[in-house]
Amino acid sequence: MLKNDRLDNYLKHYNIEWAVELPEGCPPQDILVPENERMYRLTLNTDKVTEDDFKSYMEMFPEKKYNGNLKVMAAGLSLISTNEPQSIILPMMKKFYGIAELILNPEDGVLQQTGKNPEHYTWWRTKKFDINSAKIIKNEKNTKNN
Amino acid sequence: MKKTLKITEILEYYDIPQLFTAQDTDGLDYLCLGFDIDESGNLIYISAQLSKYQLNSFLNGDMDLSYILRFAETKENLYLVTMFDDENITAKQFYGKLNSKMLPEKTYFFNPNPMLQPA
Repeated sequence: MLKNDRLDNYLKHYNIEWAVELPEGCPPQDILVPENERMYRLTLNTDKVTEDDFKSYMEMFPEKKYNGNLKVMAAGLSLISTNEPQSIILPMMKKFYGIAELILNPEDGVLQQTGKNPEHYTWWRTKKFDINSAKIIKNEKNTKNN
Repeated sequence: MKKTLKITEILEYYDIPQLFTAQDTDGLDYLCLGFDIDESGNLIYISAQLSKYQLNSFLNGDMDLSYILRFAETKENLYLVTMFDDENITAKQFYGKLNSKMLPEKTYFFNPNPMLQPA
């Protein structure tokens, strides 16, 4: 379940620390708080989840200055909410070989639906989220390879 | 000659904008597909300058993305686009040949209604 909330309210209720230092205005005030919510993230490997799967664009290029919406989006991570994770299609999938299933709870961070695709969310994660809780699921590519 | 583009719509995000439409200062339309990030973190896109008819066909899910890029290549309407941030985007005509890095690995039809799975 995803609950609409305000960031101020969320921060009052949960004693969290963001996984990385976030720029001003990030996350935005209008947020979604996950509760036992299943989400999917594409991974770089077919068989394991690594820290690199959870690095935002901003973490990869900390020296870069961002403006506009990119500033907020670049500090977060894309997640997809779907009943058919094997069918996730992006125009550029080349570097992704796996799909990880995540079950998110309030202490793991907050989300906002972003972009034109209603299944796409940006997630600003907290230090509490354990990447080892992410579970690789089968997908078309790794089924072929195994 | 460099052109300045303005995003009209971001169609696909994955951590960064993957696919977006844009217009130049003359009102010409572009479809931009991300394929690289330079050493400074600037996002690099291959872009087709295309007609309204083609753009609408793509947005309605009727035209494959690779087809649009290859068609633009034959018409010398390909551009290399750099997104410094979402308010600072430049396009330079690309006279080279499309390579596999610049193209989707599979056919890609935009899904105008993602809640409905394509047949």
